[in-house]
Amino acid sequence: VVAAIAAVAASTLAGLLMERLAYRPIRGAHEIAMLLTSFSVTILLENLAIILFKPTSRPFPAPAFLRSAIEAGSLRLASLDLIAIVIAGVLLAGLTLFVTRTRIGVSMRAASEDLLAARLMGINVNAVIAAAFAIGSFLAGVVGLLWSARVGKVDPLMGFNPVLKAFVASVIGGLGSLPGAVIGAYILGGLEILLQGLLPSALTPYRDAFVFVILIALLLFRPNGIMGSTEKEKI
Amino acid sequence: MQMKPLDRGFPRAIVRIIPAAVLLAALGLLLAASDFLAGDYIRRIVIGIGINIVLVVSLNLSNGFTGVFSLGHVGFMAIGAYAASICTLPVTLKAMNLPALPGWLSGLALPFLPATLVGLSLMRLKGAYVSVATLGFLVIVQVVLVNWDQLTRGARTFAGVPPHTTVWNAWIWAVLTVYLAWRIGRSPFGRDMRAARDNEIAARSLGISVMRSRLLAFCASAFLTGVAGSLWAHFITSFSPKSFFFTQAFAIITMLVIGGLGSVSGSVIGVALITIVSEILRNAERGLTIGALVIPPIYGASQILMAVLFVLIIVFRPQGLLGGKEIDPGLIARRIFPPTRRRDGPPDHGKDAA
Repeated sequence: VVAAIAAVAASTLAGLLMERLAYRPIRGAHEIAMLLTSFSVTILLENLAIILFKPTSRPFPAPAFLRSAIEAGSLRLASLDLIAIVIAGVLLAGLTLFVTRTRIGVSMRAASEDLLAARLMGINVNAVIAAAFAIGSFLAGVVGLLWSARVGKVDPLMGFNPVLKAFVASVIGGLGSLPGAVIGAYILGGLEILLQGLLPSALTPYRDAFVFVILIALLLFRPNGIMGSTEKEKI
Repeated sequence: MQMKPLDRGFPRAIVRIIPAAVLLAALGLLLAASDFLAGDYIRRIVIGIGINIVLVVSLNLSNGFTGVFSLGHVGFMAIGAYAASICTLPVTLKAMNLPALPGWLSGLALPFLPATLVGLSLMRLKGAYVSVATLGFLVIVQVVLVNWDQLTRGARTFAGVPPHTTVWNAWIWAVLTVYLAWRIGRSPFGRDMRAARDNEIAARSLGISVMRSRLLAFCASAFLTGVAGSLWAHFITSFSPKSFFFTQAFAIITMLVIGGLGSVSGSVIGVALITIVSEILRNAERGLTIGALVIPPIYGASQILMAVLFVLIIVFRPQGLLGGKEIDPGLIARRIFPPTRRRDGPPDHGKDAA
């Protein structure tokens, strides 16, 4: 448990550091520049991890109680899955409350909508965005723990696919909308499982292609994501 | 008393041709030197720069001029590479007689169809949404390549592609791409593209068909990227679907952004800079001795340094090195050798651009 707390704290700290070094200097730059910066930060961290911890994957020692399963009638649930679901629910509820009910959460949304106006309203934008990064990295750290416990091993490049999927899901749902992110995640996950089951076996290797075709189609009908604002750009 | 401009000037036609001619001649000399005099290592770097110029300049055509940021161009590169290799590979005999011609052609033609399809559907999206959708396209290409075993050998390495790429055909395409991008950028189409990028609503209200200009840029760019893919395939001679994924995409985009979005000369500079720097870093990675200082080999360090470099450039020059401007050899030449002024109208502006 101590190790888990330390791990999450470390990822939170790393997030804060990244914000200060890489993102704050380009505040207000083109969103593409930010996207690219985040990719290069990813590459940086991955390679750092490769150098520090060797590129081979190593086992993740999950405590025994996580590996047990709970049986209820004919239903069999890995306790880890259950814990993951509960943690996701708690974190999500907490995040929603935080973003809508607390001062800093509201400032955060204000800053994402209009940086300049938020600043004019006396919001300390830097502090708010740093807080957002801290929370984001904290959540990612928690996910990292759950994920490694589920997969049973860790390696430096393990984060890439989940993050890509998370990014895609949040865009599909509509950037800046929590319910959108949840819906996006459900759509992505649901599509993957459904297609895995429904596609004829000759086509199952192509599953990811189908998933993305459907996602692109979704974007065509809702160009700003499912829960994204439909507000027209003003001149 | 003022001297008449007519007496001092140089004939316009010559002044207009000279810079391009001088550049081409210098380039030709350099290439010849690298082809005939330098060793294999240098030659490979020179070819690599040529191919990367095609890649980056063509990406600039779509991402820089129209502002629709595609992350999926590597997908077109993959299509070009696989198409060219598949067409040249099984008919080894034919390839000997007809050097790579059918391969080139298919590498050229094939990316066009998906580009039109993708372009038609995606060019209406904006910002991060386009990036995700094109990323989706890349994933789709990737999945198809991995799974279409009979044609692509699946995830295994596709080896034994005839090495047809030379310094010369790589650089002919590079020059051609630069010229095309330059011309398109200055044509009415190019103006439409940039107008729609800078203010879509204003552009629409002036009657610019945003869709048409974006689609043109996207397809032209996909076409050239496909060419680069086939050049690359005949250069590397063995590759797998993994060669055309995120690392490659990121490398190209880094060069593009560092050179400056929307600047053709910037792209060329970005390519040269990154290729040379990363080559130096890659050698340094194997360990290095500077005087008494011995640095042990740290694999992966070059990627870290590149990422840091990229962030630094974004921080200090968010617009890239050239920031959308061009280094125009013609303009420089006109500064040095002022052409004769024509009697009518303003001296030199406007005409070249048309």
